[in-house]
Amino acid sequence: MVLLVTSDNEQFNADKDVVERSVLIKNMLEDVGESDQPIPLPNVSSSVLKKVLEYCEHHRGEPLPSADADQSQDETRKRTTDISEWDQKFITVDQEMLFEIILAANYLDIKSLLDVGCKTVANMIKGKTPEEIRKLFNIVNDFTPEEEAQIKKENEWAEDR
Amino acid sequence: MLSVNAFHDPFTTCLPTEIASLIFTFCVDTEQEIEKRIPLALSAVSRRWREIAQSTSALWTSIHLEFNSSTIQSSREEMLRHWLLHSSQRHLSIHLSIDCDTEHAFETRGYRTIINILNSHSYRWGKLSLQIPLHLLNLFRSEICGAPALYWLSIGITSKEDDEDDEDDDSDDADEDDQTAKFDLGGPLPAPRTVSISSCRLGRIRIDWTNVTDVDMFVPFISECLTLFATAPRLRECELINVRDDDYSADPSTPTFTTIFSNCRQPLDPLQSFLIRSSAPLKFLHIDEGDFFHYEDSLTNLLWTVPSLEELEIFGTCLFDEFWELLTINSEGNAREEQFLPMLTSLTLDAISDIEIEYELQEVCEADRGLGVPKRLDWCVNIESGHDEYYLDEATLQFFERLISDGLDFKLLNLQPQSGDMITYSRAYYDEMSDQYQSRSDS
Repeated sequence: MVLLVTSDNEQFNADKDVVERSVLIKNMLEDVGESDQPIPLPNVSSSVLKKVLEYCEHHRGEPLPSADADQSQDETRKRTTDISEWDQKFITVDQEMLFEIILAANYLDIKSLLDVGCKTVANMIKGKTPEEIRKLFNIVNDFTPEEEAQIKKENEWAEDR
Repeated sequence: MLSVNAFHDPFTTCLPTEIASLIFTFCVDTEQEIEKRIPLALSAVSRRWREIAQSTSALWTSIHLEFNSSTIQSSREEMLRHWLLHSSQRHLSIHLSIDCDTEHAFETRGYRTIINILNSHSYRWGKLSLQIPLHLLNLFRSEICGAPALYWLSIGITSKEDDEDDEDDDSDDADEDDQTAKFDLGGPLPAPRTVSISSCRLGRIRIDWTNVTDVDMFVPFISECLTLFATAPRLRECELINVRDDDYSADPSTPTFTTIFSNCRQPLDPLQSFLIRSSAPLKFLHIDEGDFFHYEDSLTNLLWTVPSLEELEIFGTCLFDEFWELLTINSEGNAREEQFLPMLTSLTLDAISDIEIEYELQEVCEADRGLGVPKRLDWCVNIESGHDEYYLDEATLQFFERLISDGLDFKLLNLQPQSGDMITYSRAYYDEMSDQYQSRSDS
């Protein structure tokens, strides 16, 4: 078992093969060797780590993406926004939690979880107009009139057939 | 206002640029035309989003350019430059479509400029899809650096091809260009893996075929198909749609070949070579050797490559010892992979001359071991009526009757008018002879 300590000082015990889905933790364990020392995760809160561990537990034993995955594999990964049913249910959380999971996955280096989070956000964005995207993320249009004019011209490219 | 976004927008407040970029990249997960709106939409949300979108080169690699009579050329040119600029040095997926009705009007507005801009980035072409009038093929050039990254090439001609007769004798510049039109980049030959050709002669496309594994051809001539088989040694998947007959005819009805018609005016080797390399589950093969029967070995070798064959039609030639021998050996319990045409259920032989029929019948009868797997044998011969010699001799007749009683659906048809099934009329002949003999004996 591995002991993890979150930013809000909560402790989590988890199986080694579960936490080793995180490349960061895997490398740390390899560096320190056999030890009972807790691993501090200052960038991850307890509520987020709970979700992350739930994900790692579910995907325990699945092959990890190899570090030297070639570019074509990487391209294929980026070219699909399909998310498995379980992952979709897992990632159905509020927007704040969604971005926190993405940040935690990035920090802990869990590529598959990072993809699930990013694909979910991408699916929220796809098919929406700029105005709809602004509403979705509470963004204010901060373009100058000149920039607006340029954007209007660019939009004509899409309309021009 | 910046401070407002700095507070609310997760893309501004918390996400590192590389994560935001990754999300944007997932937004363009297909290469559909509609996707061209996405990079523009992402660029139009806020300054921060515009900054991220424009620095995410993967967003700008898919370029769709369509020209019709209402297209504003300067707008297309500007858009193309925008995409090329932001795609950095990434490989490009280009789709260029020019309506046939558009090109002459558009010529003056500079489609050459557009193609020249594309040519200057030929070293980045990954996928190139062209739907253009024939004479525009000549405009694609890449003398200096070639198109080393090109792995997918699709060429569809939107104008009339040169084999389609034009009733109108008027010739203009475009017609002259059509005569010489070729996709020939002029530099090192591109070596794509996937090629799709529609309404364009194979000879117009100058590429290195050695890496090609997948080909679609729409309305090719069969001679082009076989040229393809001979020149693309790695070809695995080939879809030939509406194949037109010239010296060869083919009708592959599925993406993988199940049916081939071949008129063997040329050697069978390219076809055999293709079948060996493909995983085509060929079920039907028609071979018409006409007067060009020089390919005994080739034919046997070819047939060994198609164990999935269920129906075989061989027209215009006699079969040879080895064929019958191989076919009858099947019944002797060989391992399946050692069997010759183990799935064959129907064999049709046609137009065997009167000299050959004797030889053939002798071969079949000498085998005297049944016909192995085939359950149906339609054998058409062409023997002048009234020629007594072409009644089956009694031993042969009995052999065939035994095959029929063993379950073989066997018809030996004489194609001469009024002749019909040789087995039936030969039996009738011998029965009549027998009756006459009996009558004479009785009297």
